Amino acid sequence: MNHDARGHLILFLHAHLPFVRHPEHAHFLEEDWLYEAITETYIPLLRMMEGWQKDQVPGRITMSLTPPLCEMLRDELLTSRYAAHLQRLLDVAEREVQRTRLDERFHHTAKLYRDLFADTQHRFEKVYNRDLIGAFARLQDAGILEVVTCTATHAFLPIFGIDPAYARAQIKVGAKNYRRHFKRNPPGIWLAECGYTPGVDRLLADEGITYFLVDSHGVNFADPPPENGTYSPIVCPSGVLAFPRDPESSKQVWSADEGYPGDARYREFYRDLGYDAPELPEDLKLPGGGRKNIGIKYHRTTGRGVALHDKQPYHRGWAMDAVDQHAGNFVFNRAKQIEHHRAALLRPPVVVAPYDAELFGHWWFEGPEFLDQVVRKASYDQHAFRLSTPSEVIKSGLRVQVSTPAASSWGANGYGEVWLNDRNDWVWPYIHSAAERMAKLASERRGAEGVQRRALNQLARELVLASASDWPFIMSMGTHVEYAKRRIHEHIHRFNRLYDAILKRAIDEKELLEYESKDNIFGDIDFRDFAV
Amino acid sequence: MPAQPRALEAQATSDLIPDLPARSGPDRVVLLARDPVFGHAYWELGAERVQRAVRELGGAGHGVLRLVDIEHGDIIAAFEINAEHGRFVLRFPASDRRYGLELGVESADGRRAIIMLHSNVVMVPPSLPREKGEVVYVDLAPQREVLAAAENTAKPPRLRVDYPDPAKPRRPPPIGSIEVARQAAAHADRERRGLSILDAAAEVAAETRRRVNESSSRAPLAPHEEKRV
Repeated sequence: MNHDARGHLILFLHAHLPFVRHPEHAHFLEEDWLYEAITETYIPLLRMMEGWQKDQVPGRITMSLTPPLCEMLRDELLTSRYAAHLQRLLDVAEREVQRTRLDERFHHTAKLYRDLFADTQHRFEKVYNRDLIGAFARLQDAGILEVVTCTATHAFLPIFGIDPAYARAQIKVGAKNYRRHFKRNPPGIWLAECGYTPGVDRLLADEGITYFLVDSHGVNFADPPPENGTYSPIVCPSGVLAFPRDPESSKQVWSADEGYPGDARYREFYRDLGYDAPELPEDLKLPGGGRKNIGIKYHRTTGRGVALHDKQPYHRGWAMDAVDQHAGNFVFNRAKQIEHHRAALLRPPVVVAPYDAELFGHWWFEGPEFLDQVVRKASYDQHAFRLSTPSEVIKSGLRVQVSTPAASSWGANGYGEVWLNDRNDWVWPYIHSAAERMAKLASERRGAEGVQRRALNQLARELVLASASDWPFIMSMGTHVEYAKRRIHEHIHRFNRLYDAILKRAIDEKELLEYESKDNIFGDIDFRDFAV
Repeated sequence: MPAQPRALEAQATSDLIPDLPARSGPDRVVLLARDPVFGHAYWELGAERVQRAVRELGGAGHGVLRLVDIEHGDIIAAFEINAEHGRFVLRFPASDRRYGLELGVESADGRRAIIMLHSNVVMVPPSLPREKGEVVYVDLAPQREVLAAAENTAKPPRLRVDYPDPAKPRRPPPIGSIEVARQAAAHADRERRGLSILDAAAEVAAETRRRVNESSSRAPLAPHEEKRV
């Protein structure tokens, strides 16, 4: 057993998008979420990790790739649509290189995008053969990346305390999906929104899941209070470990006031060529000709409070200087933090720094370069800690205190108000009722075969799609609200129609086929996983 | 989530959105603990049942929702509501304890009530650190065994561990007691200082660190202070 005296730093990226797939439309605005994330986050992260592999950097990172994201990244329709989207983007970038050739303020940035998109296309088509999950799996096999799962559709489990059978089904479907995509058992799980409530850990133990993450107050208010605060995981009486989020390292990146991404040298997210360009191809506009972001941005943040029209041109060299400084600062602070607490605790501290993956590259353009520098500097420029994954901490021989975390989340104010407020509370009666009916029907019809079985499986799909935490989240945030409402209405409507048809043994196969084709997530879903 | 706030609703609203039924399902009342301070209730109850109950009460009455302290069986708040359906946000008098709801109809003078539905029971999260309990450290051999079987997807292992729970068994003090008044005062103090629950948690973390640093500057933890399992 390796009793390494150094501390551990766990860099954790949570990659998630709701399942958005609309075969009934040639172009669908919300599908862009996936295309943007592939170009700006997922492929840059793969590029970064493959760089460590090539340079033999002992980098370690942990990622949750949620089941809806895995399903979309392996969906033939969406990957072929992405390929076409990327080609359109590359065409625009080529034209931009020509358009800006006499404008030295923007020409370098235009070439940067053209080269990035060309490399992205090469990787997507030639290196990964359109299979990003396979690329992530290979990095996991190489020991650079640890991938964990999530609840089936990112359901926020504290609101399903009244439906333990459904909470179990969300975990079971998530674990099965992971096994299908990664050909191994999930070592851990990202509970959607870090939403934990006592008892969930026992459901995880049943699936052989050894750890999850909680926000720091989940551990500070744990029972009994842990001696090591947020500098060590705790283990529930069920045997499942809870790794607490470190507030200090989170703040340095997340904070709107103090976070690195607000530096004046970094690229500005909100000023986009989609709005600035005098002309654009129709398929890079909204239906009806409206404008939208396309991901080519020529300006830097310039400073806090600077109006969009006053933003200054982006300068890549300055941005890379900022990356170098911020990565050095981050590693220095973690080393000091860990050294200090190692002396105080007399044991190796464990610092967990989780972030939304889409922060890196999509929102914060230079985020992947920052992470790359953090890992390289942490590997060679300090000795206070090593980069670890939660599994490596478990294997390190660390003894851990038994304690049960308090119910908590990482949402605004630390609990459930983002998913339960006057803008979205109308959804829960429908979803709870559907979950209860699903459990009853699944228990009564365990032996169903043929079309009955297909209908029961589709019933389960409609339920999990309706209960994604994304829809109430979007309603709280106030953008794309109509789309979120529409998704809840559609899935509950389809659920109710199927439910009645199953009860009456009058299933309309044409209608069932239509639902199966539209909502095709989890091809191997088994309705019996939803039984009581 | 990669999303943009501008001009994005056009396509979503262009298709017909199916209506949902007015009722979501059978009669029931549900209580959800939103956070240590607030709960959220919703209910649906058939109009016929409500009318029958009102008739039994002499023809005059109103819907009532009662918050029950499960630990002591006390009714600690009652709200006049529409018994047939509704949503309601309520304030828990104290955190870190169990509550439930009763839904029914109350006579006009408030002296008689017919309760028709009981909710689930919720455990409200704590807003303050718990009392110290027994300190138990364990080795993680069972977890390592499960991780070692990562590739056995045909028969995924379960994590079979049952550590003794060192949390102190406790029955929270009744609402109205000095302890609960103290907890309410702590809430009020936090609100007065403009602290969110997360800020309060950060204070707790700082205090924990301070205590740990103090203890380590006196003497390291002796091995016998840990209970090994």
